[in-house]
Amino acid sequence: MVAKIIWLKRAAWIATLFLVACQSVVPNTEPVDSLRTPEAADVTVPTMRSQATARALQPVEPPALTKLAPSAESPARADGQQVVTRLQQEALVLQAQGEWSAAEQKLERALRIDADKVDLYHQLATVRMGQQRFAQAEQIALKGLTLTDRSPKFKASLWQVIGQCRSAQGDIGGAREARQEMATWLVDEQP
Amino acid sequence: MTRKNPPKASKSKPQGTSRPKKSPSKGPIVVKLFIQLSLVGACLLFFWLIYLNAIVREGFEGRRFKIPARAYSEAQELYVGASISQASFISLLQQLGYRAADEAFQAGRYSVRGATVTVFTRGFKFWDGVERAGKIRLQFNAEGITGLNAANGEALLLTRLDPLYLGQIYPGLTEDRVLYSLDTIPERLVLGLVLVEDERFFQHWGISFRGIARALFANLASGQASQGGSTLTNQLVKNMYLSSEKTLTRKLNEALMSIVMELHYSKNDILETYMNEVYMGQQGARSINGFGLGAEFYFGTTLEGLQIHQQAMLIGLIKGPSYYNPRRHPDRARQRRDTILSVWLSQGLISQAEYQRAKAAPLDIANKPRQTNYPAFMDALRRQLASDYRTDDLLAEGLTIFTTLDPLAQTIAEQQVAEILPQTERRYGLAADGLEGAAVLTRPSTGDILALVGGREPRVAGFNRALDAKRPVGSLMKPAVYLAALEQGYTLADPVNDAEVTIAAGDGTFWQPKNYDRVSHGQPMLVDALAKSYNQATARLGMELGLIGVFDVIARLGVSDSIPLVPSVMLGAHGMSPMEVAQMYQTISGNGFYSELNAIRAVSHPQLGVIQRYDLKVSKRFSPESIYLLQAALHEATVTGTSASIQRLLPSHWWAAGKTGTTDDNRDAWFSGFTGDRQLVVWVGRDDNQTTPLTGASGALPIWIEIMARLQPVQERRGLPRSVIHRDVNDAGIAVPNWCDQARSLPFISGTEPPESLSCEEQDNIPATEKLKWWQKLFG
Repeated sequence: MVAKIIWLKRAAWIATLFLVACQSVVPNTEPVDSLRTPEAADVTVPTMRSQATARALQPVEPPALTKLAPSAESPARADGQQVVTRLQQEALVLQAQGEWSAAEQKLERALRIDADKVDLYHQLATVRMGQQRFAQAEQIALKGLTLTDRSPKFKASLWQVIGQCRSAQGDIGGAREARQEMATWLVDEQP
Repeated sequence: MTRKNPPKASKSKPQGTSRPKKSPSKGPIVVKLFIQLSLVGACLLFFWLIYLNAIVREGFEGRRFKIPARAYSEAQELYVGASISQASFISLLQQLGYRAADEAFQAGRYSVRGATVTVFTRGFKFWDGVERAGKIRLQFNAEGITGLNAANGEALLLTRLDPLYLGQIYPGLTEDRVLYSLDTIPERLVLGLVLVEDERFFQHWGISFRGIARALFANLASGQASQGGSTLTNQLVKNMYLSSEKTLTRKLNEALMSIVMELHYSKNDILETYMNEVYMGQQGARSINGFGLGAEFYFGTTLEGLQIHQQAMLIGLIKGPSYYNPRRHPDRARQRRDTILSVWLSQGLISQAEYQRAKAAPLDIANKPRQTNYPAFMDALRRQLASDYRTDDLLAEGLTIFTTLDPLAQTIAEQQVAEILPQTERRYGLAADGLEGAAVLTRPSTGDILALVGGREPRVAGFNRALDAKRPVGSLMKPAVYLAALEQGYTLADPVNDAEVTIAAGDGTFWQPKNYDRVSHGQPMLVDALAKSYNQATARLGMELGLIGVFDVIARLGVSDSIPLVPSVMLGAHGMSPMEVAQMYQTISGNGFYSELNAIRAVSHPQLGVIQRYDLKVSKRFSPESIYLLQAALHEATVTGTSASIQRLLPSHWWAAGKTGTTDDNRDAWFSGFTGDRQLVVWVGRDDNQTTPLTGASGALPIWIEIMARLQPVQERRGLPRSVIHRDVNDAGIAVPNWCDQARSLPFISGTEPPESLSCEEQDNIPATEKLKWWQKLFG
């Protein structure tokens, strides 16, 4: 029993680290420039907890939605893509600060504007992991898998999250399966 | 003892001479009596004060914090690309109480020029952040919003309107108010109030002797108690604790309680409570209290957005909200307003120029706001809240409930149910008002309940059919049978036997389901048996799979009732409410993931902030592949099956999926389906459960189509599971070359695709490996 608890703690630990890595790999989103700092790459220091991570990432004020310059693209029907992307970027900044709840609210707002954007589910799953809600994170990532087959890299990153969640919950076999799934999608991506 | 008395008496006689001396001692007796009485009086007063003190404290604190929960709708998101038409947007603004004007000069006004709408938003404190008031400009085309700018021309990416106030959770309470803290109330309004109502408010101790003296004099002169010398504190005490009768006792109590109140609370506390408490008008049974709601009620704007003349009008109203009612007595009201303005001018609160402008301004009163009334949704909301909150908290804590209700969608759904039912009655020669209907609109991705219609008269709170009408669901149950089949390895092309069937019901009786058209259709493919809703084929299929398997699927879809384990349930011989059907279909439209249907986004507390959020929760119940195939079959139903009118009547590029349901003798007509990120369940039938000539397709589907046509759900990309492939098959379910006339593409889970043939006409749907060789046939 004790061993199990220790193991669980370790799993949670590993998941937190993975999570940190995930934050710099959000697909299909133009990353906010300020996040492409060397600090972002250095966050895998083992002693770091999620809140410490936030500090290391140099908190950035999320740009207010109202202060955006008009897009160069045609303002014609964009299906809210631009809005969703901006909300995701803001959420990313909040994630980096460990503001999981605020990040989640941004993403849920985005979800109600575009319900089938697969990387939105990926990001939401990442936030759930940050909240230590691994079972729910896994379910959200699994749902993300049903959404689109546009690019194998989305599937791979979702399987990666699923694997991390399963590890964190002590499901070693499930985690292995998830990693294998991830690998198959990564292979698919090779030209 | 008595004998000894006389000598004593005689002894005292000489003292009798001193009797005259006693008369001066009368004074002390009177004094003594006076002191005694005063002491008794003081004692009584003391206890009376203790009593009043308790009343004041309990009332003040209780009243300040005993505010019933208020519910708001979902807010309309505004961004370039949002698919809301200009007409819908304007009707939403009107629903929110925004007023049309030449220029959107204050919060709560909008102006329209061609395809451009300028709105001065009111701003709102949401659970996930504050939306500030401000002027925005929107451009529209037929698709929706094409431009969104701030007043200075800067492009805005995303903003939202304030939500629609749905009402208090428990409508029995008639007092309504929008709370403002003193520091958020415009300074001029506060000062203006003090100047007019109680100039010495910041000096006195709760009572004004000057005022009392003046009133006393006036009352004595007129011989009746007609004037009061009220301070703001007096007025607050009177409003909160006392009747409006004008007696000396009441006046005395008022004075004492005012002093007690001033002892306990700061001037600011008293002022803030007064400004949120004061009675400002009436709308039916709803009493309008406080300046915040007053600004909304009379001018459609916020407290911050009030102009000077509007501030003056509100303050003038306090003296007699009914007598000076600007809607009923505009002249009187205007006089009163101008009096206030001249007091302000003489006291230097406003400049001469401001005075002139304000005095010249018309009253400019808004139409009485429409009271929103969504009894069916509020009922659902109360039930959900009841499971998480104590009634006392909902009545007292001043909670704000942010709901999922979409006002535009709700209006559309209500209108279509109310319009189409009479049309249907006329078309089928039915008695007027005999049919009833219910509708549940949800968002598959999140499980949000967007609209709820409980009957054809949606304003009448009564039997909530959406939640409480448990009616047999008929063929709406069939997808569970087919999903069980797909899970067990069947493909959409597998043939199903549609011959007549007799099934032992287990209690000695026999069940003989018949097809609706009373015809057997041979060996249809699984996809067609569902799309065309064949009863016989479904019953046979279900029995082949086993009841347990089918019932397991029903439970996983989210039907929580304990259902009797009898075969007829597979064809829908089980009563469910439209809401329960919506929950079941949510799992199908949600790609096999269960999410509990939900009417609440968040709950916030005035002091503690957000205390609960209802965030996204999904739970996988079926494999993506099985659900993909089931959705494809339900889509087929909207193209070639029982609901093919969808294909005809809605834009051809829309992807819809759904199922009709019709019960014995056409007592219930159902349709449940989804397109884009919208799912809608419609039920039509009679409250007395009598027969109708309607089927799901003729009774419920027209309502579904009309609502969806107006909602214009954004059509989504559909994901294809990796292991699903498409094959062209003929009617017998054989994979044939795609140039064959009857070839149609069906999805298969990789490895289960049907046998291939080069002949278009191949009918033998048995895998080659299982086919008997000629010699086996000969000798077999």
